[in-house]
Amino acid sequence: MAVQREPNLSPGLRQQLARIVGAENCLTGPVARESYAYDSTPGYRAFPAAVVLPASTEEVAKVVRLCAEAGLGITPRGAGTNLSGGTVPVKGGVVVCFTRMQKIVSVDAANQTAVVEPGVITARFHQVVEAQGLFFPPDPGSQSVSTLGGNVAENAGGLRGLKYGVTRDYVLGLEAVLADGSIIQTGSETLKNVTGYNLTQLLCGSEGTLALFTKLILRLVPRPPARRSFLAYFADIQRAAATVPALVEAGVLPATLEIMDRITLQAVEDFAHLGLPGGLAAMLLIEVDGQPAQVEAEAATVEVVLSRSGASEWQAARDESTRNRIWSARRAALAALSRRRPATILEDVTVPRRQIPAMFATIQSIASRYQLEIGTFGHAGDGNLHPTILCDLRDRKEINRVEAAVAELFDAALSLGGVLSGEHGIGLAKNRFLHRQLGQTVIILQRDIKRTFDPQGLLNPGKALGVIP
Amino acid sequence: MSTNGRAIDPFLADLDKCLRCGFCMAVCPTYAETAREDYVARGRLNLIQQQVKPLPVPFLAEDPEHVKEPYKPPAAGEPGNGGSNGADDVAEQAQPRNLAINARDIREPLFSCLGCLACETACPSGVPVTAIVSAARADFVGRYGMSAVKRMAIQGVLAHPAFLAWGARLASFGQGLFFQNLSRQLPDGAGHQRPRCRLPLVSRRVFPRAARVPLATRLRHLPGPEGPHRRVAFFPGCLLSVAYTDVGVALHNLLAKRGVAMITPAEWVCCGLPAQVHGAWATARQQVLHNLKIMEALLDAGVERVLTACASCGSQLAHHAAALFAGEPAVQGRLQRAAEHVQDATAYLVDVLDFQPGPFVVAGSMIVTYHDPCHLVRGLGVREQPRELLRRLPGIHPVEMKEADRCCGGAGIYFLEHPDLSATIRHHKLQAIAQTRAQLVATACPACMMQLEDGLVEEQMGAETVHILQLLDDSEHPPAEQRRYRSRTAACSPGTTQSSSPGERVAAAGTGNASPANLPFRLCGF
Repeated sequence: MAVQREPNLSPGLRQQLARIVGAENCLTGPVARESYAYDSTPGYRAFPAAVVLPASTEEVAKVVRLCAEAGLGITPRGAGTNLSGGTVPVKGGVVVCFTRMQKIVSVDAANQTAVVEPGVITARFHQVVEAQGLFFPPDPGSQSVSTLGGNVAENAGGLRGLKYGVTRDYVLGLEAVLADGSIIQTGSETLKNVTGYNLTQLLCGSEGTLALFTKLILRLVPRPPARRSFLAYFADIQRAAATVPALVEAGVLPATLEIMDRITLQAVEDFAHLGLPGGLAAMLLIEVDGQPAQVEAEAATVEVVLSRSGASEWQAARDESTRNRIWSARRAALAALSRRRPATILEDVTVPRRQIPAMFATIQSIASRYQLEIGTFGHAGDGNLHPTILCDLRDRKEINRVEAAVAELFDAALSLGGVLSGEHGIGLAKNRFLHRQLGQTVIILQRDIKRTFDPQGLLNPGKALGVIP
Repeated sequence: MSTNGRAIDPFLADLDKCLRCGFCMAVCPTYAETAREDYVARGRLNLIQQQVKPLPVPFLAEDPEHVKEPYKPPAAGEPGNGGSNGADDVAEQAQPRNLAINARDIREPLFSCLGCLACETACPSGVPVTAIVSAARADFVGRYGMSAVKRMAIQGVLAHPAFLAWGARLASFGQGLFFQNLSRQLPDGAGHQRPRCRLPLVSRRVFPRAARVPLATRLRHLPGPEGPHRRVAFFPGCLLSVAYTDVGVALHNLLAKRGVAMITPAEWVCCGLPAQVHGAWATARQQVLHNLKIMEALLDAGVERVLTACASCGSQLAHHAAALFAGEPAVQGRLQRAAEHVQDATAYLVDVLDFQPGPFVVAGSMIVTYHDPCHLVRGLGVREQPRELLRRLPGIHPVEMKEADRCCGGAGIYFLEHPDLSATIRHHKLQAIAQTRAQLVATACPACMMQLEDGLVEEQMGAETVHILQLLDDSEHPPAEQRRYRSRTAACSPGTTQSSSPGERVAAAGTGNASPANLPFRLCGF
């Protein structure tokens, strides 16, 4: 075991980095290196040689230029709440942490756009724009801490995907630093723009492998003034799953359409004692939003669909306190599951909506064959499920079963016409499975694109580009 | 802390529960100021865990310890080939499994935690962060010792009630020599003082004046309730005993008027929270056991509650102390039984006595805002009762401040160890107070009062701090006999005077979220 006492960084380089961002924002001590060795993905840990926290585009560009000259890898990082290991500096190098770049540069109500720095916390941005009657729909689970730059880099999703889409649908343009330190501008503050290739959308979801973002131009929509929530319990999961396409076919596009399975519900009840009816196999949480008249009409349709759906029980929330009660089970899901075992491995396989029943059946079969506890909840409306594997990282045998189960889970999703990841990204965790979905030709094509942007392979090395079998 | 082994040992399983989800980052006051991983719960827990029992890194193919024992699944596909990404030309650096972190290096992350409990409330996995951090501090102190000043304060003065009482009495006579009485100097300095000489760090600090007569003596001369009455005990704690003695007197009066006798044993010692959070666990255990015996005797004698008016003491008696006795179910059981009878005075007044104020209008028609002490709102779960009390008081206008339950940065003697961080955290609180245009800041913890008083003077805001019990007591007295509040037309905003903005005390003023650039992370001589 090689114990590295000193950071793998020459004193000269350290000084130069410190000169760019200021000594107190260039961290090379063991405590700092240890503190930026992880993200929210259980089971991954690797040390950077240095952590820098720049405050401006110019500082970022200078840091990148210096790293390019020295051949040092760069791992960009926001709040580090990634769920695919994308911010773990697996090849060492420099972590560029954007948490100090947290200015909301402008919010333009007339143009319905905002310009922000990448370190702005998602929930703070929500508050600021909502106070002006505007709305930024992407709401990833970690919104209270995640940064917008990280959301764009991962193309984060959330609960509102079905009606409002994901982060990508709200990114109009970027200011970015390329691997050689040059600064580019993609997109614009206009909704229409067909000038050149759509580099904005190429960079969005590129997981830090193509460029570092230093400013984001985001699209906003008017804030929906009304909403109505529904909660429906089902005695079998197939009926719950069948209700999802039924709602959409009836012409309702709910802002939220969440599903929770038996194990999750049991965990929630054990943890939060909400008094959920016993013998439940599934629960659907539905919320429609929009103008009051439209919400009334959609709510009426939801009630019709639910009454025909075979739900064993359902209720509607007409006021805020009932809504809070209805939402409490969904809000408690992660806490309830994560308290059962030390580690919680949260997958995000996504399948076409009609395949949700089949995916649930497969997850149950995998859980029983590998003797694992897997609670599943997720965004049923867009087919994005979160099979959550409960385990203990110290139990090597169990971890081996987890690894095999995850591999089978991915294959199952692919065979149903789904994808490996709906919103967490490929990062490290799914890197060795990428070719199963994309195939060799696409992987090579992607690597060619990567080489054009980053010939030295400096940006977020070791992530998201797959392996060639 | 069991006699052998480390204080952290009973918490190893709890350490494993942290998923690094980062929800603590949304609420941690020190993370809000620094935006750095080593200043937030998950970072602190990670550092502690790496010191005591690192988690394996099973999914990283590059991990040399990653020994593959392929599980033979009944019907599974190949797990694919792991290994590094062929696309990267970047030179790979040998990845060490562990960094040689000197345990001394984690002092700053360990001791920069305020103990405000915000992360524990936000944590989906229920990690007892505060207990873990204080256990790690105990092991740290066991290994590296404590600074002389801290040792004197915690193991000397606070651990010996006689020292505290006589020290305070001496101080009350001698304080004029060393401290400037601000009543004459500053318009809003009544009852406060500031060091005369340039002591390091604290030379600008405003302190409450030590009481001439300690609380115990004052209480001895007060009449109890007339006729048949119920009985409660009062645990004043150190600050209410020697500085804010008016609070205990106010509670005595309020209870006596409502047919409740308040017993305040002279034998109480410090609740043990300062010793516990600063890692002096042996001292803390002694203090907790000593007080536990008194509580048990009181409860056996038919006292219905043990009341506290200091949020930290209450929180300590009610549950924090249990962490000191992990693996000792007998003591924990006794603590638990006693804890069931511990209640904050505001909660007792509302929930048990259904408090109705006296006949007199209080504090003119001032705007009053309420600050939630961390240990009251999260430690004891008391949020509504103090607000209810304010609503019932005639005359005043209660106005809710933004983020009323955010830490004020006081945290006991935190301001001594981390003066700059403490001041920037407090600055947010002062801004929230200023927005309400409040003239009075009511709270229910003397430690918060001390921190806020200093801030209100420092930033010349013209508002004043008051313990909520004092306001309630005022309603029993005609205006001429009430505590005198300085009436002002409106409070001014914080930092209006350049010289007093925290911008001067902290290298660069950080309104909003101060960045690490603005914070010289220096430790004082502690």
